[in-house]
Amino acid sequence: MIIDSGLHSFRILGAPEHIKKALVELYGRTDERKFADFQIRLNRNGLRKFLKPQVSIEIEGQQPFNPVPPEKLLPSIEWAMNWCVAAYEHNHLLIHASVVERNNKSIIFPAQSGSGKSTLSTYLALNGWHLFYDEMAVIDLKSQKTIPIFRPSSLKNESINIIAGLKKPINMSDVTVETHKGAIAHVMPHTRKIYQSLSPCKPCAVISISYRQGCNTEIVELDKAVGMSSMLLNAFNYSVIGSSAFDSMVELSNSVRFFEVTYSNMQDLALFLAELVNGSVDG
Amino acid sequence: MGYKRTEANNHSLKKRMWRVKKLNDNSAICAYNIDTDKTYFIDRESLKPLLATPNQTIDDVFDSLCDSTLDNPDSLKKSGLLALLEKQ
Repeated sequence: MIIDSGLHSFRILGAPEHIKKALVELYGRTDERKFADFQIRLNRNGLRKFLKPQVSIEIEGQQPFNPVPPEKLLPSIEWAMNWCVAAYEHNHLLIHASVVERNNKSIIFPAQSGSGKSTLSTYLALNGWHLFYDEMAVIDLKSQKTIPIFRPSSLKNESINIIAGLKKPINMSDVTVETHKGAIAHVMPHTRKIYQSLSPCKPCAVISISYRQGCNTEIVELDKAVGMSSMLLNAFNYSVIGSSAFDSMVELSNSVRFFEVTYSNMQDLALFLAELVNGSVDG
Repeated sequence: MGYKRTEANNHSLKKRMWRVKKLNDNSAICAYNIDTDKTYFIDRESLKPLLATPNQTIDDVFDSLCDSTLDNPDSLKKSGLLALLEKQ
């Protein structure tokens, strides 16, 4: 089967029926004859399949992940697709971050483990924003526009209950328990039709977020050198692309505002973000 | 056998080793070393050695390092910024 994320397509070979069903529920059906940028082959392991079945994931002839039981395959396929992009996509600048958009302006949340970026970006996507990609900011080197990617957000552990508790109609996968990152569920916040209506757009802010239970929302604007260096720390392919990535990163830094935000209330933070894209936050 | 670098070649390689840009909030000069793929930030404090007179301020230094200077290897050297970068 083919997974079409917009910018990239992935051919998944050897998927068990329950995985095919889960992927179709997230992405919808796509044209099987379509060209695929990447091939991900799922191999059941020899005789072991009769005792303790495991599936290995082969990407373009490499096996970057440990084999997993078939019931834990969905998150691994999602990680494999991310791996393909991170390892081979060097036509765009890639930053480990989630990206949301509203009013044709995007906000980049560079990743920090446990910062709650997936929870926040999923919450925003269910409350009037669009999710561009939960895993990476995919940035055009010439225009510095962020590019929308049709991929689900990946929620972990408590985040799953927080998003499920919003009582919104959501396209959420079954929860995969006991992965090496804990429990994982995937949420596709938009339909493909909505995704197809999105256009690349320029970011207006880069925000490093950190969740701290019970705290008031604290917002600090950073200078551009600090902000740019935090983006460099999260860049996947900056040194692969070289000097044009440097040029693009400086252009991007000179056109956005950088913030560091500590929060506990997503609704409160969403108000600030809405003001940012409306241009009503004073410098 | 093989290619032998001339003095002129060495000189032009050195000239092209850095890409230097200014961050527009004047928080730092940002430099990329093409040879090593490393990025450096020359912050305001580090620009102090470039003050030419006691009356000059760091903001004056930023203003004097206009983008055309940063793109031009010769004026990069002349401004003293190249010497700072080579210490990085």
